[in-house]
Parts: sequence; C-alpha cells; structure tokens
Amino acid sequence: MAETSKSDNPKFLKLKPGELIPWERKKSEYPKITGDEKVFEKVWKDIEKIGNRFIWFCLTDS
Amino acid sequence: MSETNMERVYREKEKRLIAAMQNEKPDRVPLRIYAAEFCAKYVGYSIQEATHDFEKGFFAVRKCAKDFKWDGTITNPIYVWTGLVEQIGLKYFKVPGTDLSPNIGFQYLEPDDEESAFMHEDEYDLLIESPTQFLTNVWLPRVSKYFVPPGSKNTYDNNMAWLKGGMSMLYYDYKNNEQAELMKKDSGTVASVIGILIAPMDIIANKLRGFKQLCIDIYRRPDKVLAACRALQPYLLQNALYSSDHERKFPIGLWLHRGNLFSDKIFKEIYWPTLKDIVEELWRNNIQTLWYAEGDWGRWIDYVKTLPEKSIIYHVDKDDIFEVHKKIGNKFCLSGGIPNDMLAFSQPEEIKEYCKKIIKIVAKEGGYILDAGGAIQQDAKIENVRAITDAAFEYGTY
Repeated sequence: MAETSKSDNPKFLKLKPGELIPWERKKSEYPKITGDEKVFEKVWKDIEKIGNRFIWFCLTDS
Repeated sequence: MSETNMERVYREKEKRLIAAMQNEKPDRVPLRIYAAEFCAKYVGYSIQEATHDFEKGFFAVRKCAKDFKWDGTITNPIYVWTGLVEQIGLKYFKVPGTDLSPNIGFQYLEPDDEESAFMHEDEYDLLIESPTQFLTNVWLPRVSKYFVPPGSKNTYDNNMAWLKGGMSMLYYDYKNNEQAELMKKDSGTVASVIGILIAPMDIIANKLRGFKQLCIDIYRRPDKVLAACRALQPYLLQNALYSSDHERKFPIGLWLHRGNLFSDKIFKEIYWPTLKDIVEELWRNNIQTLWYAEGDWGRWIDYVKTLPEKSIIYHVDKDDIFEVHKKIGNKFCLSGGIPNDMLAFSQPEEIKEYCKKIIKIVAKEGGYILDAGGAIQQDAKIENVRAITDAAFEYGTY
C-alpha cells in the first residue's frame, strides 16, 4: 500500500469535467493541421467522454 | 406505420408513470417496482447466476415485469455486474459464488482504518486539485488488484484490466440499451430510471475514505471535506448528465446512503448544500431526480422541501409514508413506502390492505407510484409481491 500511496505526478493537469487529455494538449502534437481542425477536435472530445465515463463509472456505478 | 399492441401498452405505461411523476392523476396508480435478488429467486436462478451473468439477470427482470404487470422497472435487477468487477479486480466487493455462498447478494467492503483507506487523510488536496486524475492515478491502482500507478513497473495484467474493463463497460451499456428494448417488446414495460448520481459526501464515505475515517475528518479537517465535496460536484454532475435519459422523460437515480447518519451541523454545512446544487442543476436541464431516500430521512424533509416543485420523486424507504406525505404535501411525487419486512413476513392480505391504505391516502390526488421501500431481495415472498399488483389493479384506478 505504501508504494502506491502517492502519485508520482503531483502536479496534476487541470482537467475539466468530462476531460482526460485536453484537446489543446493533443493539438500541440500535430506539426500542422492542413484540414478542418474541428473534425479532429470533435472526434477527440467524443472519445474523451466515453473514456471519462469509464473512470467515473468505476467510482459511482461499481 | 401502424402501432402494434405492445407499443400501445408501452405508451400507456409511459403516460401513466409520467403523469404520476408530474404530480398528476394517471388512469391508475403506477407500479414501478425495483426488485433485485428477488427476480433471480422468482425464475429459479442462484444469486450468483443473476449477478455474474447479466443476461440471466436481464431475463429474470423481464419475466417478473411481464408476470407482475409492472409499468416500470430498472433494466438490471442487480445493481453491480460482478463480471466487470472481476475484469478490474476490484477489492471492495464480496462476490457471490467465490467470496460468498452462491445465494447471498454481493457485499461492499468499506475501509475501516486509515491504513486501508483508499484515499489517505493527507490526500484531500490531490483530490481537490484534479478529481479525475486522482481517481486514475491514485484511487484505481489502490482499489484494483491489477492497475498499477504511474511510475511503477507496468504489467500485462494492468494493460489487460484497462482494456477489458473499458470494453466490459461498453458491452454492458450496449446490452442495457438492448434490454430496455426487450422489456418494451416483451411486456411494454418502461425502463423508468436512467443514469446515476451519488452525493459528494457519500462518495467520500463509500469509496474514498470510508465512513469511519470521514467521521474523524469532519472534526479534524472539515474545510477539506467541504472543499473536496465542492471539487467533486461538477464531475458528478457531468457523469449524471452523461448517463441520464437523453429524452428527459425519466429521472436519474440518486441513491442516498449516509446523509441520515450525520449531525444537523454537518448535514446543513456540507452534505446538503453540495448535493442540492447538483439536483437543482439537473432540474435546470429538465431532468428529474429519483430521490431514493435509503433508510430513515424524515429529519431532513424541511431541507428537501426547498427543492423546486416536481424536481424530484421522493422515494420512501423506512420512513412512515403517511407522515412523509403530510409533510411534503403535493410538492413532489412520492414513491415506495411498502416496508420490505412486510414483504418477507406478512401475508398477502396484509400487503393488499397496506397498499389500499396508501392508495386511499397518499395517492388520493395522484402523484404516487407503488413500490417497496428498498430494492426487493430474495427474502420477499412471491405471493406478497403479487399482492402489490393485485392492490394496484383492484384499488388504484382513478
């Protein structure tokens, strides 16, 4: 228990509700977006919601 | 396309439930029964079978809904699918068929000292700083046999638990939606509670600190407890909205656990304000909340009465439903109030008489839904559950 009692990442990201990896962070990985940025953003955020639901599902539903 | 007979039955049941939830008079007092392990007993499955193989649980509730003519029920009779619990290796469950006899319902194990607490007393700030990341990096690795925290050596079991845990949730969600459709086709029964909300302070008691540790915290570090509840609020709201009925017809389930155990001061200063905000925000989003007041909540009715009219369905467990009705009047729809011990120990005639009294007094002006106080378990007699239906049809027509 002692080994897992502290996060090794105390400087947590400021995550908004429904967010796991903020779009801004993902966006910064692209050298350049030549197409429609909104398409990338929408799909990223849609999957974020499902992933986020899993974390909170573990807390509230299981 | 013409409406089938079963579609018409569904529409009638839906209309009946919605009218009652809006505090109006339907054609008949609705039957919205939440039966848990009872469903397994009724169809002859062990508790293990219905809990672990959710298809069997789903079949059991469909069979009950059809045979007992329920207007509404929940898609899965047993709240926790232990198949998913096993994929993640959650430590805080006792599972029927392994940890327990196959005919005992699943049990929660709560941390009972500081060492075993899933969140330690000096970690409130980490939770407050970023709840989702705290859960992912700190809490989940502690409550799971398989997950490892960032910085630790990765394992195959860790990777598989994340993969299979996530896949299990999606599979279960998909099958739950399918179950709602099957209920509709089989018997016109409505899935009448959709989504989940837990009070912030209950989350800290149940899953993070344990009730015993929380009771120490509210004296040693009350500001941290309040701040943690405040920090959890937007995340619990988001989770509630995401899991709710997107058509906004049926309420979200708020399963109230420990609020009735705190002092007046703690309830007033922490439990109540951090919960009320979420319920009011759901209502602003046109979502009613099923206020499932587990245990005895009578002492907090004056607080609950301040919520907006019709914003909740007040479900009565161990309180006297006639007293609750006197105090709440017609501000909210009421449900439940049939004592579970009566279902286990009384005779069908007594159940019918009790339901008749509720219908005559509480349901007189509409705004009432028949149900037991708590989810019906395997101790209930089948003939007593049938007596609730008989009473609804014999005495419940307006």
